[in-house]
Amino acid sequence: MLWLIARKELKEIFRYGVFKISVLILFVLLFISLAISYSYNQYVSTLHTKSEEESRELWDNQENKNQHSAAHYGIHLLKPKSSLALWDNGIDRYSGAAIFIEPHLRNNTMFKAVQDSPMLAKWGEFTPSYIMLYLLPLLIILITFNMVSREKEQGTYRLLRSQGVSSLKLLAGKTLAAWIIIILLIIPVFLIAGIVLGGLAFLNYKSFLLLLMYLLYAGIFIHIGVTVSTLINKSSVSIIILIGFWIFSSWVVPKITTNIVQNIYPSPLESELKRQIRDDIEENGIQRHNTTHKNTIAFTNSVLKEYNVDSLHKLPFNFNGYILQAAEDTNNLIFDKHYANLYKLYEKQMRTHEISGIVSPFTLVRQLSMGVCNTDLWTHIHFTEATDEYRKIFIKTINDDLIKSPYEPNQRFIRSKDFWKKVPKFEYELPGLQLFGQYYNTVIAMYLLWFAASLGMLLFASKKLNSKQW
Amino acid sequence: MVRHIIYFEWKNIIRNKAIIWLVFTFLLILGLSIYNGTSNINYQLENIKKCKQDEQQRFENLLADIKKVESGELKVNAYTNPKTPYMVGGKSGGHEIIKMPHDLSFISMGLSDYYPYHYQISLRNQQLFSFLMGDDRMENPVNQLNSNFDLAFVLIWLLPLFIIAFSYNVLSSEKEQGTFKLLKAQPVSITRILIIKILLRFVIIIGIIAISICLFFSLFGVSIVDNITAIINLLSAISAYVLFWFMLSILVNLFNKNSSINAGILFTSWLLIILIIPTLLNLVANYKYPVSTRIEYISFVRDATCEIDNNPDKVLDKYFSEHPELGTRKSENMPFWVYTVALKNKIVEEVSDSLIMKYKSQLNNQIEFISYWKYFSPAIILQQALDKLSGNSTNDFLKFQAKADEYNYKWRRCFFQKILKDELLSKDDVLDLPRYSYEYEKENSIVTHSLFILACCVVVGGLIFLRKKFV
Amino acid sequence: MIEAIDLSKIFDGKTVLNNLNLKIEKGQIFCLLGANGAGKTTTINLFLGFIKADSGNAFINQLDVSKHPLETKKHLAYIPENLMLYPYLTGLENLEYFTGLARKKYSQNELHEFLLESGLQESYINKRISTYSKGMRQKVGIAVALAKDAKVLLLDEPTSGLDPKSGNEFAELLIKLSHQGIAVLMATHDLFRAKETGTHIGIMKEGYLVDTFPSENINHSELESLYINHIK
Repeated sequence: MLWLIARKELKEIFRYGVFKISVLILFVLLFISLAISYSYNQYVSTLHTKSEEESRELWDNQENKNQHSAAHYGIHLLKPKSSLALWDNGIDRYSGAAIFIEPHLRNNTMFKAVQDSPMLAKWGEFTPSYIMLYLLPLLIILITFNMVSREKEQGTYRLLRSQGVSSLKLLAGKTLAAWIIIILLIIPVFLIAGIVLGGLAFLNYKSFLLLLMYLLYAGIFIHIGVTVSTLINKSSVSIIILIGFWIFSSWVVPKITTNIVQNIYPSPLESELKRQIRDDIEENGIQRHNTTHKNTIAFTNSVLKEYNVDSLHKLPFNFNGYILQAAEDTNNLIFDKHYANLYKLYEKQMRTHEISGIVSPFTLVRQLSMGVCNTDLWTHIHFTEATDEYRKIFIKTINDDLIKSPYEPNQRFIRSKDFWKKVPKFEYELPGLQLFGQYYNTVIAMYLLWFAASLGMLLFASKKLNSKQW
Repeated sequence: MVRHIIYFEWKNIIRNKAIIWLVFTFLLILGLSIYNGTSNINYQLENIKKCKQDEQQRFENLLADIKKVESGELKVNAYTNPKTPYMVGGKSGGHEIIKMPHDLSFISMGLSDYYPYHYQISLRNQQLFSFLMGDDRMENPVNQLNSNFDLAFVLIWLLPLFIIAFSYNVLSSEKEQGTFKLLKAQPVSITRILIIKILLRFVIIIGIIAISICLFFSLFGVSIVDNITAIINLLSAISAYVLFWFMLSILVNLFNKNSSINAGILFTSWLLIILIIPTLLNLVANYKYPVSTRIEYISFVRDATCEIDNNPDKVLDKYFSEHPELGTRKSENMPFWVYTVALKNKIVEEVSDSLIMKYKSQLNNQIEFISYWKYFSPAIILQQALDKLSGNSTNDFLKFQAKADEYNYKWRRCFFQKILKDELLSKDDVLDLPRYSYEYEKENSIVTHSLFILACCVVVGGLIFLRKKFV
Repeated sequence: MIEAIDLSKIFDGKTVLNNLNLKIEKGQIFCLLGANGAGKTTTINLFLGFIKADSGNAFINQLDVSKHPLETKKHLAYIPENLMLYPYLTGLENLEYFTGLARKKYSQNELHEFLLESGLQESYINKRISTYSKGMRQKVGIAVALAKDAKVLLLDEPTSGLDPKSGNEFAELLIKLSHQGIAVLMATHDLFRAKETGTHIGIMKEGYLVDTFPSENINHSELESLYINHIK
C-alpha cells in the first residue's frame, strides 16, 4: 500500500516538467561548483605546502649568525587545506592561512582570502555545500508543497479517502516518495564526484558523516514540506509559507544573529588586543631589551642572588639566552591569558549562534558541515594553538642553544650554520573529528531534535487530516 | 477614469489583510536593519576613538620622555632611548590615518567588513604595504561568513520578494477570482487597467520606503536636511531597482498564466538574479584571476633579502660605500637590527613593485570582470550603488589604501636617512615631523548605476511591448 | 439591437460556429439551447468581442463589435455563468467600480436604488462580496446592467447552480428588464426556464442554429421533444 502510494507520487513527479528542468539545472550547477572548487582547492593546497617548505628551506640554509637574529628571521607556517574543503570551504576565506613565527610576539594568521576578492563576497561562495544547503531545499519545496493540497484542489482526495486509505499511510507514502527522489539524486552524485575527485580515500567515515548530515537536512525539509502541504489547503499559500521558512532559516536568522552577537559580545580590534597585551607585559612581563625596566632589573638581580655572584659574566650560563627564555616564559602566560579570553568570547558568540538553531536548522547543519570538512572555527583555533605550541618549542630550542653559548654582552655570538636544521619541524595534522565531541554536542543534539520534531509534525498532520471532514 | 480605477484598487489593497501584514513586516525589518547598521557604525567610531586616544597618549609620552632624557632625569640605552628615529618613527610617534564613516555609511557595510578603515603610519609595521595588512579585526570568522543584516541586504534581497508578493497576481488574480470576464466586458482596455494597477503599487512601495527611510533615519539621528542629495540618490537607486522588479512582474503577468506559475517564474528570477548569478560570477572571477600573490610574497621577499639577512655587516658596509653622502658608518645609538631592518625594508620596497603590480592587476581584472558581467544582475548594480553611497565601495577602500601606502612611504623616507646617519631627534624635531590625515571625498554621482538599472527596465519594457504585439 | 450576420468561428480547424444569422430586437429575450460544445458560449464571446470572428459580423446596437470593441461594450451588460466580484469590496463598491469603468457617475443613493431594484436585500448592500451567495452576486450583475443603462444583456447560463427560488427571482428580473426595452441573449441548459422567460428560443447543434421559434407557440413537453429530436 505504502509503495503503491509512493510509486504514484514518483510517477507524477517524474512527469512534471518543471521538476526535470530544476534537477537538470541543479546538477549542472553542482558539477560546475565541484569542478571549480576542486581546482581552487588543489591550487591553494599546493601553494600552501610549497610556501611552507620554501620558508623552512630558507631557514635551514641560513649562514652563520647569532641565534637570536635567526629567531627574528623567523619562519612562516601555513594552514593545510582539508580534502573535504572541496565540499564546504567554511570560514577558510575569512580566517587567513599564514602565520609568522618570531620571538617576543604571538602573531595572528594573515592573508584572509576574502580580501583578495571582496567585491562579491557578501553573496556567498558557490561551493557544493552552497547547493546542498541553500538550493536543494528549494527543490524539495518544489516537489512537496502541493503533494497533499493538490489532491484536494483537483478533487482526487475524496475518491482517495473513499478507498479506505488511512491518512498516516497516505502521508507516509508521499514522504517516502520524496525521500526516494532525494536519495536517488544525492547519493550517486556524492559518491561518484567524491571518488572521481578525491580517489578511494574519499570513502571514509568523514565523507559518510557529511552525506548523512546533508540527507538529514533534506529530510527535515521533506517532512516540513509534506506537513505544510497537509495542513494548508491552498497550494499557493503553502508554497509561500515554505519559501518564507527557507529565507528565514537560511538568510535572515544567521544574519540577524550575527548582528545580535556583535552587539552583545563585540570582538576586539587586533590593534586593541595588541595594546592590551602590550600594557600587560609592560606591567607584569619581562622586556628583555629594556634593561632599565623594573621587572628586568628585578629578574637580573634575583638571578645574580640565586647563583650568588655579582656579575653576569660569572654565571655558569649565557645570561642573554637565559633572560630571553625567561621573558618568553613569563610573556607566554600573558599571551595565553589574552588569547584564552578571546577564545572564550568566540565560544560565547558560537553559543548564541547555536541558540538561533532553535528557529533555523540551517545554522545547525552548516556548523556541522563545516565541522566535518574541517573548515570551521574550532579547526582554525586548533591550528593557531598548534602553531603557538610550535612557536614556544621553536624559540625555546634556539634560546637553550644560546644559553649554552659563551656570554658576550656587547658582541653578538655567532652560531655556526649546522644548527638551523636541528630546530624541530612543524608537524601538523588537521584534527579530523576529534573536536566534534568537544564543541558539537549541543549542535548535534539540536539537529537530531529538529529531525525528530519534523517527523512529529508529520504525525500531527496525519492526525489533523483524519479529524477533518471531507 | 484613472482616478476611479486608482480609488478602487487602493480599497482592494488596503482591505487585504495579508498585504497589511506584509507591509508591517517590511517596516519592522527595515527598522531593524537601520538599527543594525547604525550600531555597527557606532562600534567603528568607538574603535576609532580608542585608536586616536592611544595615538595621543603615545605622542605625549614620547615628548615627556624626551624632556626627561634631555634634562638627564632618565637614563636610557640603545633599546630604550626615545630620541632615536626608530622610536620616534615607530612605536611612539607612529600615527593613524583614518577613513571616517560618514552619516550614511550604515546603509551598506560593504567592504568595511573585510578591509581596515584605519592604518598606522609607522616604521613598526612588519608589513610594508597595505596589501599585506590584515583587516585589524579579531572578528569571529563565522560572523564574517554570515555577514550583516544591513539596509542593503533588506533592499537588495528581501524587497524584491515583497514586490513579487505584492504584484505576482495583479492580472491572474482577476482571472482566478472571476472578475476578469466582467472587466473585459467593460468599455476600457485591460492594458490600461494593468498599467494603472502596477503603477499604483509601485508608487505605494516607493512611498512606503521613502517615508519610512526618512522616519527611521531621523529616529536614529541622521539629519535628512544635511544629507538630502545622498538620500535623493539613495531613493532614486531604490526606485530604479523597484521599477525593474515591477516591470518583470508586468511581463510575467502578461503571459496569461495562473498565479502560482507567475509566482514560480518570479521567484526563479529572484533566485537567478540574487543567488545564482552573483555567486557564480564570484566563483568564475576567482577562478579566472586567482589572487594569492600575498602568500607568494613571503618567499619572494625572503629570497630578495637573503644576502642582508645572512651578512648584514657586509651589505651595510657596501651600501655606505655606494652612498658617500651618508658619511662614515656609525651604529651606536640604536640596536644593530634597526639599521639592517631599515636597509632591508628599502630593498624590499625596491623589488616588490612587480609583485604588487601583479596583485593589483589581478584584483583589477576581477573588478573589471565583475563590472562587465554585473549587467546580468541588477542586484549587483544596486549593491555597488549603495556601497558607493555609504563610502564602503571597493574604489573607496582602494583609494584609501593608496593614500596609506603613499604616506607610509613618505614616512619611511623621512626616517631612513636619519637612522643610517645614526641621528637623534630633539623635541623640536619631533614637533616638526609631518602628521598625515585622510580626507574622504564624498561621491554623490551614482546616476550611472541607476541609469543602468533603468536600462534593464527599458529592455524588459521592450519585451513587454513585443509580447503585446504577439498576443 | 443584437444582430449576427453570417457569423462563423473556427478553432483548430474545427468550425464551432457556422454562418449564424440572428436578430434580437428590443424587449425580446432570446434563449439559446444546446448541448455542451454546441457553440452557445462561442456566440456570446463573439458578441462580447472576447474572440474574433473568422467571417461574418456581430452587431450590438447597430455597431460592429470587431470595429468598435470599446464602444459596443458601453451598451451591453454581461453576466457569466459564475459571476465573481472583488471579495474585499462591498456590493455597492463593486457596482460603483464597474459602472465607473463604463463612465457613468451616480450618487451613493442612486447606486443603492439600483441594487434594491435588482432585488438585493438591503442589509447586504454594504457587506463585502465574500459574504454573498451566487444569487446575490448575480443581482449585483443585474444592477451593473441597470446602472450602465445597457441596451443589450448577454447571459451565459446565469441560472445554473441557483436554487429554484433564486432562479425564479432572476427570471422575473429578466422579464422586468426586457419590458424596459432591453434585448437579452441568454445561453442556457434549462428548458423550463427558457420557455418561462424567453420570448424566442433557438436550438444549436454542432455550431449550427438549427431551429428558432417564438416560445409562446409551444408548450413544455413539445419543447422537450423538439429539443431531444434536434440534439439526436
